[in-house]
Amino acid sequence: MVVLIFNIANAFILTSCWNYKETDNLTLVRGFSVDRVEDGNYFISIETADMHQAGTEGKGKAAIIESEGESMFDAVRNAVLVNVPRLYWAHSTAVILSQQVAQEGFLKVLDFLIRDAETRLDIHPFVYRGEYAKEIFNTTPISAVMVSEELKDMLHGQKFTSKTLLVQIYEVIERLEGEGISVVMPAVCVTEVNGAKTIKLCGLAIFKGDKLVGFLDEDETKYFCFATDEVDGGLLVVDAEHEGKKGKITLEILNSGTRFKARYKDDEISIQIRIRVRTSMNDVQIEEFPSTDNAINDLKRQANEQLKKDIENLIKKVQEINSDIFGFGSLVKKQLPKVWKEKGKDWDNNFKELKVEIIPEVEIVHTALLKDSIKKGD
Amino acid sequence: MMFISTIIISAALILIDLVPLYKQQEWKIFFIYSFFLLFIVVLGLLADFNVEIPSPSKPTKDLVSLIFGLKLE
Amino acid sequence: MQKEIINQKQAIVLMVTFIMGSGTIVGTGDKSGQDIWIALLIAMAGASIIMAVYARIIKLFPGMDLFDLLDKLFGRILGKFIALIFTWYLFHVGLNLIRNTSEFIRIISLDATPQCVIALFTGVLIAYALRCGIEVIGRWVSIFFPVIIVISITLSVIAVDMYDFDRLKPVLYEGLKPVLSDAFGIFAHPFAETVVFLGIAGCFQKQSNPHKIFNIALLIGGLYMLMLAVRTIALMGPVNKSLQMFPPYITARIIKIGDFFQRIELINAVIIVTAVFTKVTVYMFSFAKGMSYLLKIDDYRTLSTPLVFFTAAYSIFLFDNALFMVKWALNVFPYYAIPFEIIIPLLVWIAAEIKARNDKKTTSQNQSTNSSGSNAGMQC
Repeated sequence: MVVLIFNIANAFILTSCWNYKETDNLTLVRGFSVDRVEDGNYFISIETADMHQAGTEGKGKAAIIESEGESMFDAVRNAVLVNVPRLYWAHSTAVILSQQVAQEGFLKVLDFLIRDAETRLDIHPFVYRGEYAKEIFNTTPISAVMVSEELKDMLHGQKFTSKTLLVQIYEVIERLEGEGISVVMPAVCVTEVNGAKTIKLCGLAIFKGDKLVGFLDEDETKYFCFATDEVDGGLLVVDAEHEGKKGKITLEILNSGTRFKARYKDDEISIQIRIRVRTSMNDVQIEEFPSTDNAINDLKRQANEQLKKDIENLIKKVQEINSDIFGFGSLVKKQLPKVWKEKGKDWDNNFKELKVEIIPEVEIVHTALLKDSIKKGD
Repeated sequence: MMFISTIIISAALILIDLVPLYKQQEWKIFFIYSFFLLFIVVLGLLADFNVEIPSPSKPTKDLVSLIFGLKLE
Repeated sequence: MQKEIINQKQAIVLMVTFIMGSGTIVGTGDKSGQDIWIALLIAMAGASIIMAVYARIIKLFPGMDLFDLLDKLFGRILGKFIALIFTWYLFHVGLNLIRNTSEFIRIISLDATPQCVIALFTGVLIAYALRCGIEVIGRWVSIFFPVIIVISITLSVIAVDMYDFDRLKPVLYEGLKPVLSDAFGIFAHPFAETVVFLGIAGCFQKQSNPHKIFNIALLIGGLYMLMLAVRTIALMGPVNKSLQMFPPYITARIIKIGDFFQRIELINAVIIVTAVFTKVTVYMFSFAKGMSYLLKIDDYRTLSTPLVFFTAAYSIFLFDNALFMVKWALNVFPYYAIPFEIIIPLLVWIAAEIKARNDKKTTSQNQSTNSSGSNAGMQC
């Protein structure tokens, strides 16, 4: 009798538990974009995976839902007016902010994402370099079914180019709240491939606080990665010169490691960045470039000089924007806490005049499959 | 909701515990037991009517901040 | 009613799980930021001292729990009074823990489920465990403990790629003060909370060494908390740690290997709920014993059931919101617990030393004189 009562009670009370959700009724959110419309409302465009046909077609179909609201959460909930089942947010991977939203401050938008229990902290934020972020979902992804998935895969592909940066929301929070470090997010834009519109990652967006202040292009992003020890691979194109002949030699980065050292001397902070790059020579466009020690050492020297110049130019540019995206401030805080206590209050000014010394050490480990250059016979 | 839950639980407890206790005529524990059960049901009722019941957390917070001179939010 | 006994190993495992308990929900203090590991080590050092006191009390009067001891040491009236205060503490912390669990479950997943349902059905589990008795709980914990440890360590190890130990720098940037403040918090919650085991001490095997139980439990539990704290900091930095309501749970959300091994926070949630469940059970066990002592009822098991449900039902009224709950646990509890975790045990210890010395004298003088109430502890 008792067991019976308990079982009946259990069947009603424990199994469904008010939050019961059936997987095939869920509409999974994969990514969404945020725009600001004229009357100050948020306009979100949500890319969803429609699970209703998932079984028959093998792959879920993408469907775009658009909705508008006074706040982010309001806009998200208003999507229920357009779409029958409630959206399920735990699988969202990308959030694309329009340039305007980013300029006005992204925190208002991301607060909801960080706070809500359903969304996760490993969402990738992007800034759309263009007018309306919703345009992004009108493109055709090339390899994946959904734009958001394609975006995520492209980010993870950064180890082949080092021309973008993998950023997750919790890192954004850490950089935003941390002292002496500023937020960066990958930028995304629309290009045409074979007549079809598709997405392209184009560098980084630089923030000061939570407001967008500028962009870096793809090459600058690569140097940014060098300066922050984020390089996993990619190429180094050297404008080389050998015995009067000019041409480009491309080195493939096998791995790279960056060491930082903050120094304090004569009331002045300086930072030394030592970059060790192991490369292989994979593409030589100088005729009869010999594989002698001399020639290789010469190439290394030229690569070093070029890398140093490029990174220095980047740092100068960022110092003009005055946003410490490299995290030099937090480096000082970690290595010279006493100095930071004094200088950290006025870091904006100190960052502008910060001396950064870059010591690149490019090594050429091998020359791929060829021992020597291909020579043209007569 | 809480009221219904407490009623279900109390009903189960009466069957499991109180009836045997009554049969064994263990009066002391029987009355203490029923007193607590009644209390639970009353709590359930109060929760459903949104009545506030004094909770020990605010007074303890005030006490601690008084004794140790702390400023606690 | 025959005496229940848990052996030394079970006691250690129970205590370790107890220590792991609520530290895994609300996390450890948030003032010291990246220096939390220093705070933990200081707290462990402090806890080893007070735990030596607890162990000594148990060692002096093996087979007796705190309530019998109070009766014996302070006499009827004063003993009852101290027991009353202590029982209140057990009740209050038990309330808190049930509320922690239900709030945690409600926030992380079951947001549409009424909280009372979660709380009351946590109560069902606890009540059932208590009716089965401490032996069953001991056996249950020794089955689950390896699972918890293996999963936790696996989680920490697979995330090793994502760690950035640079986040632990700079050391002691804000000075020693916030670290000490956090150390005090960790000392009170969870290490010195093991004072509850004085209420269970009657069930320890007589030949087991309480010093060993406390020390090993402190070591394993402390290392586990250390691992958890360092993992949290190295994964997402002190900023995120102090921002999040339930940091250890959020860390598990971030951990992933590639695309195939991710979203494992539910495993972590299960661990958390398991550990906290053990902790509440221990508290409720002691509380039931305290009440049965105060009301002079031998059968604590039957009494425990309504007590547990009463606690679960009352926990709904404990806090207005979760924010206050977390703040109370981190800021108020350490101070609130001082009388129960330090003063009462110290009093009991001093009285116990005197009593033990006197007992020795009287027994050597007069072999036939038996110390009164030595049988009281037999009923566990």
